[in-house]
Amino acid sequence: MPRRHSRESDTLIVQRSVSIISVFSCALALLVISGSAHAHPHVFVDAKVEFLFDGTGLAGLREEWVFDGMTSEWMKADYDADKDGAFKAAELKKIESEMFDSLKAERYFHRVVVDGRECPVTGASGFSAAVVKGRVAFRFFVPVRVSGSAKKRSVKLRLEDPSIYTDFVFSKDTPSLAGERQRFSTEFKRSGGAQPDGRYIPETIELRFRKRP
Amino acid sequence: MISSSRSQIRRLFAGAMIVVVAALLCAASFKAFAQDAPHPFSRGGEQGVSKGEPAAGSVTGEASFLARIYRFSTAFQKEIRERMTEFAREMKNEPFGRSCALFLFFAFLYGVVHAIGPGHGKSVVASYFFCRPGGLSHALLMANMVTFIHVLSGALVVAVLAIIFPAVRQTQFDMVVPPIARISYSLMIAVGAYLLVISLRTVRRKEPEEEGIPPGRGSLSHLFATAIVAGLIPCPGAALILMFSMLLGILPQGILAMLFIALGMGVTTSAVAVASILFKGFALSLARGSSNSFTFVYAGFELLGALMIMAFGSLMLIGSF
Repeated sequence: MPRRHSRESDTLIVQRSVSIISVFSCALALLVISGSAHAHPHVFVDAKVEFLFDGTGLAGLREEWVFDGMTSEWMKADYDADKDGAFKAAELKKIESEMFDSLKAERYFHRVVVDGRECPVTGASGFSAAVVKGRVAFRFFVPVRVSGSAKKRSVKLRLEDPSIYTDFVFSKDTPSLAGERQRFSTEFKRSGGAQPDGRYIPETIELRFRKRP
Repeated sequence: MISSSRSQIRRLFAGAMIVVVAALLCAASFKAFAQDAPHPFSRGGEQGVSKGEPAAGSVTGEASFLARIYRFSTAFQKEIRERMTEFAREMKNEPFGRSCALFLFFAFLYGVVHAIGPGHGKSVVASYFFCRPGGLSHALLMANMVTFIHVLSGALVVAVLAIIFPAVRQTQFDMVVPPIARISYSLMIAVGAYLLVISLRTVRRKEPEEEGIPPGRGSLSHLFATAIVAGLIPCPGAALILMFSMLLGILPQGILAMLFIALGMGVTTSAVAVASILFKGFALSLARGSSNSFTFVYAGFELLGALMIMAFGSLMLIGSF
């Protein structure tokens, strides 16, 4: 009888362990699936963003993306064909078609939320590229039309590569204002963030503005 | 009698809690372990922003502890890479001088910090020592084996690409990695399943092996097999440095840098391996007073470690398609 009891006890222990571990494994599976966007960044970008105003309100974002030294060396090797340290018209066209246009499907990594509603970026214009102190910089304009009114409007911007391949950091002088900004009263807020699963979210800039009376 | 029973319950509860915490710690590192994405500047919209996109309302908030570590690791890697780029440029004029020494030193630092991020076999190493016995020397051996194979695999892929293509680029590397990663994940499932069978036999026999006892030849072969399988995935970070060295015409220094990156990554992975062994030892020592709770905690670790390796391999394999 004691022998039988011992076997039953052993079986019970194994059953308990297996059931607890099964629960752990399910939790683990959920966590792995939910955190599948995690990876290493291999491209680092310092982004400078200027909020451009016209007579009616916000017209869009004037941006400069400065790439890290290593990525810049690759870009120069691939696109600066004559190795003169600058991109000529033909070289610029090649960069735009091969490196910049492919970002359209990614909405140029922009997350724009206007008054709490997602506002997908559908295009960018005025692309140019230059070498500044050995680093390659992309310059372009992203139209984000938000008309000004007496009521305060909110525009949140985040630059985020969902695959984490590219790491975006806003430059110290971001955000700045340009154009007919005097017509509007403005305020900014910069904040970092994290999802409930602990995943890091790049910094968000919020612009609040209203038409001056 | 009542006091003894309460004490047993308390020990059992403490043991169960430790296993839960261990599982959560491993899960937290597991979830961050994913395949590297293809280069976004050339993938032509293969992966839209809608994938994994958070809700519009969740754009702000305080960064969690894990998020802060991730941020620190990313910012530090960026800084190290900038320094390495500067020294690499200087090496064009002075190939083996001060710049070379600093390039290699920063390669070592890059390895240490790069391994803090997701991937690089840390979770597999931690899980392995949950289910298999081992001491400090085994932790160091396995951790460094994983990272050296991981870096070597990345360097070999670059070498093969350099034979095929006139100029090696990240996009070509990104195309080669997924099939190799799938082989690694499949083998990981097999190794995890094998370890699970061994763990189940050990648990059923109720013969807990004491911690710190050197594993026999059979166990060492398990350690080698797990290390090879976990390290098989080519390290994209090391490959990037090697490709960069080739681009700037400093290949010998680039190859040396691979050694230093592997050593650096070995430091981080060794720390995880040692922590795993110490943690398991601590949990078992707490439960040692009661035969039931000791067996329960021991069985938990045995099965959890093997299951984690299996689960990780399975989920990553599914996720890679």
